Parts: sequence; C-alpha cells; structure tokens
Amino acid sequence: MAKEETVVQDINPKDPNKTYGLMELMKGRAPLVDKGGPEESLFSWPHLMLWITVVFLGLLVVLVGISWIFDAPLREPFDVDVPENPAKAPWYFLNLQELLLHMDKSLAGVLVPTVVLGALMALPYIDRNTRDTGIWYGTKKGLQITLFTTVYTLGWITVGVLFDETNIYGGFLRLLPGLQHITVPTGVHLVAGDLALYKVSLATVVAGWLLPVVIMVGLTGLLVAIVEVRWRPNIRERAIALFTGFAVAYLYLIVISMFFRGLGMHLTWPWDLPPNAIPF
Amino acid sequence: MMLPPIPGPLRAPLDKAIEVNKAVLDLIRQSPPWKSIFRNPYPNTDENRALVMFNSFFLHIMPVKVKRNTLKWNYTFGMGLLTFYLFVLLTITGVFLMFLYVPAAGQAYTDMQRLGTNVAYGQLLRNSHRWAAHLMVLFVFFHMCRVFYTGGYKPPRDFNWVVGVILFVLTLLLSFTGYILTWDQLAASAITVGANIGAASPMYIGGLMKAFILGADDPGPPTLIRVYAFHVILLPFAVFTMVGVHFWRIRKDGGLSAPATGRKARQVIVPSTRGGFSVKDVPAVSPEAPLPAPPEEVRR
Ligand code: HEM
Repeated sequence: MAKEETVVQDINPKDPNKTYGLMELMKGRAPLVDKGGPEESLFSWPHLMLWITVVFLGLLVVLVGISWIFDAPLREPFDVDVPENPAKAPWYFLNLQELLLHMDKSLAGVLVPTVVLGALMALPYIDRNTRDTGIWYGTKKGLQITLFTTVYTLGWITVGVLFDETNIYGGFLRLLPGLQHITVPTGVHLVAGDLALYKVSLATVVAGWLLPVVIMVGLTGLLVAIVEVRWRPNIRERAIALFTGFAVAYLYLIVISMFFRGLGMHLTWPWDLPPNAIPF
Repeated sequence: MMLPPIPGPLRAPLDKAIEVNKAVLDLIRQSPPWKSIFRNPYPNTDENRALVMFNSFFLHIMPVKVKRNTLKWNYTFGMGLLTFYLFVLLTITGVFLMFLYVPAAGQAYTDMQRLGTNVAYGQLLRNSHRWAAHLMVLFVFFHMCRVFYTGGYKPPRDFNWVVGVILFVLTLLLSFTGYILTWDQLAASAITVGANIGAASPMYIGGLMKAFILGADDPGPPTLIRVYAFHVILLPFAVFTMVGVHFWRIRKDGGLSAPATGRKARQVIVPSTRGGFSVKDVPAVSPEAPLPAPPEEVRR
C-alpha cells in the first residue's frame, strides 16, 4: 500500500501577486464573546454525544415500559348525540374548560388565552437585562417570589372555585331587580342574511364578564402590589411573579377539572367521581 | 483499554482473539467504502473531534465544543431534548399507524380496535404513540418553565423564545388533533369542547371558526378527515420547520445560555504595533461589552 502523506494546504491560499495588510479595526463582538473560554467548554464528541445518546436510550426504555404496562384508552364509539357526562377535553385543555365554567366563553376561550400568549411572546422584549442570564431564578428574591406566588395562586384559585360553586353571586344578581330585564348589545350577528345586534341581559354581562375580569385583574394586581412592596423587585422578578402565577394556574386548573369535577362538571371528591370522568 | 486480569489457560486464546479482532477492524477502517463514508479517523484527537462534528450531516447541527454549563443536568433537565426526541418517536410510530388506520368515520374506530386484536404489536404501537404524545405536551411545558426560570429568553435569545411559544401552541394542536382520530367518546367530548371554544370567538368569527374546525354544523365525518389532514401533514410539517428554526437559532445565538463569564479575562488576538499579531489579555468585561474584532479567525 502506498504510504499516506499529509499535505498541508492553506484554506485561503494567498495570491503571490498581491500584498496583504491590516486595513481597519472594526467595533463588534468577537467570536469568543459569550462562548466561554477554552476552560469553560468541552468537545461535543464525546461529552455531548454521550449524554444525548444516554437520554435517548433512557427515554426509549421508559416509553416502551409504560406502553407495555398501560393500554391507551378507547371508549365507546363516537356519538355526539349521547354525550358523556362529564364530557371533558384532553387534560392539557382542561384548564380552559375549567375557565369556561366561571365566565363567558369568549372571555375564557379566546380573550384569556390570547392575552396570555401575547404576554409570553412579549416577555423577552420587556425584560432585556442580560446580567443574570443563566442563573436559576436570577436572585434569592426570585426564588422567594416563586414560592410566594405559588402559594398565593393555589390559595386564591381554591377560594374562587369554591365560591363560584356556591353560586352566591349568580343568586345575588338574580335578586337585583331589573338586571335581568335590561339588555345590552354585545356584538353583531347574521339573522336571515341581515346584520343584527346581539343582546344579552345585563346580569349575564356582569356575571360573565365584569366580575371575572375584575377578579382576575384584581388578584393579579394584588400579587404585583404585594411583591412590589415586600421585595422591591426588578423587571425579571416581576416577570417571575406573573409567570409563576400563570404556570401554577395552568396546572392547578387542570388538576381541579380532571380530579374534582364529576357529573355536570360539579365539584366532587376524586373518590366519588363517576366512571370515565378522567379523560385517560 | 484496561482489561481485567485473565486466568492463565484463557489468556493465549483471548489475546489471539483480540488481535484478530483488531486486524479485522483495521481492515474495515482502511477499506475504501468505509473511508468514503467516514472521511476522518476515529475522533480521539482534538482535531478529529472537531472534524467529526462538521463532516457529518447529522452531527453538524451541533457545535464542535459546548459550554460546560450546557451539559449540567440540572441546568436544562434535558427537557428540550426530550421534547425533540418524543417528536421524532411520534413521527416514526405515526407513520406506522398510517399504514393501519383509515380516517373514515365508519372505519376509524374499528381500526383502533383491530390494532389491539389483529396486528402484531399493534397495541404496543398505539400505546407508545399515545403516551409519547402526552409526554411531549408535558415536557414542552416543563421546557418552557426551565427556560423561563434560567433567564434563557433574554437577548440574544429573545426571538427564539417567541419561536418556542409558537412551538408550544403547535404541540398542543398536534396532540389535540391526534386525540380526535380514535373516533370514540373521548374524541366526541374533545371535539365538542374544542368546537365550543372555537365558536366563542366574538361576533362573526365564532361561526367561521366553528365551521373551520368541524367542516359541518355538527361534528361528523367531514370533521374527522380535516382533523386527520392537519394531524398527519400540516401540523407535523409546521413543527418540523419551526424546530429547525429553533435549533438554528440556538447555534446563532451562541449556544445555550449560561451565567456570564465576564469576570474572567479573555484572550483575543490584536494587531501589535510592530506589525503582525499578538495575543493579549482583555481585562474583565461584561459579556455585553464589545471586544475589538480580531482581524482573522481565532482558532482555539
Ligand atoms: C416542540 C417543541 C420544542 C422543542 C423540540 C424544543 C427543543 C429545544 C432544545 C433541544 C433546546 C436545547 C436546550 C434544552 O434542551 O433545554 C431548546 C432551547 C430553547 N428553547 Fe426550546 N423547544 C421546544 C419548545 C420551546 C418552547 C415552548 C419555548 C418557550 C416558550 C422554547 C424556548 C427555548 C429557548 C429560549 C431556548 C434556549 C434556551 C437557553 O439558551 O437556555 N422552546 N429547545
């Protein structure tokens, strides 16, 4: 076999007929910025490769294991004329379904999700300080705010859900004379090809829109105020309060709707749930 | 490699076996087909470790070097990676399911049953697709939380966070559309709640949304076929594309976020006054502060 020779070649060979010199220095980020020095980095091969392989194999084992033990559900054949009771959405939409029980469906199903998604997308354009990038919770305060907000959110949602179940304000509204009979236009819709005003009673507006909005905005405002006074937060810490409120509400509403709602989506203890009440 | 001590009588044949093994491997590694596929030797030197990453189509999405912080298990908890893997596994199991499932209202449900009775490993296939879908939703949410609490959304990763939020929504929709395809009562409940939420859009839009979701006034055969099209083509394609953008951006944004290393002096090559270049220490700076641009590519 012919002996292999190493040929060293310039990647950008110089033209012998030209002269080269440094023309200018420009301001800008050097390639090393934010990449860590040599001591702070490792070769992807083998370090990263090892881990991503191990994680993949681990996932495969776990997934096949779960699938071996638990069968995917299959209920009776599809029939919308005989709805299930309770009829629940898949678990990741149960939080929305829970909201639907407490307010007007446009508010719960459209406005709230839109506001939340909008706020999530706006977040990195509001908190632009990079000094504490890469640090869990940013500061000690951040962690404290996370814990406080978790308790705060769990508490108020519990109170709110229980309160709504008593239907106290629904009954209260019905007692108020007149509210039932006054109608307000809330939109337009098509009636036999003509645009018509869509009217609902004032009671519906108060119970479906006014109170829920006041409660949601009010509790969020109260949270921000407490955090403001107690911790004197920076922008990131304020964001931590709001995001934690969102994340905890997201999960807790799922738990309530999944495990505590029985026939007619009324509150029930998990052990009293009718069969098939858990959408799994 | 260190081998444990080998008892006397076994030693000679084992040594021989190892020798033969090595010779065979060498033969393979020197052969033209092998060399045509893997253009560089086994990556056990720094140069080859670099080459292996950019010479491979599959590996070149990853950088040659990563920050130590990136590999800390309790920094990422591997959540994004797991989400991605679940998407891959869902694609594979999903294609197999497509061989076995017809999205027609009269047949979909029985096809589901047949997976458990008439298809070898059909139930396992269905189970793994189903549970992987649930896990993907769970992990994408946890991934979002981890990115949030580590401040991974801050510039320059601001746009990648937005890409992430889009991926979050797409993942939910993908999972939801799949849930309908079993065409059982769970699907009926889901599509009813879904259509109600769609119909809740204000004014005229609500009606349009409902018609768009159901393809009819009530959930029925037209619903199934459109949900199917979204589930097997449109949404996977959208996720695939956005994941591509997501990963591309991670590279372009300087890898994963990490605590600033600005306190440490960093070396850059700067032109010396006597011509040529010299390596200088740059005093402690914040990672935001611009450094003088090195005149040529700095090789580490
Ligand atoms: C299909 C869904 C998604 C996939 C497959 C995915 C995948 C990944 C992967 C593999 C990483 C590398 C680090 C890690 O594993 O944590 C990552 C980082 C990142 N992801 Fe995702 N992701 C998804 C959804 C999201 C969502 C929902 C968000 C946020 C709303 C998001 C925002 C980010 C950001 C900002 C980074 C950079 C984080 C840093 O540098 O610390 N991603 N993603």
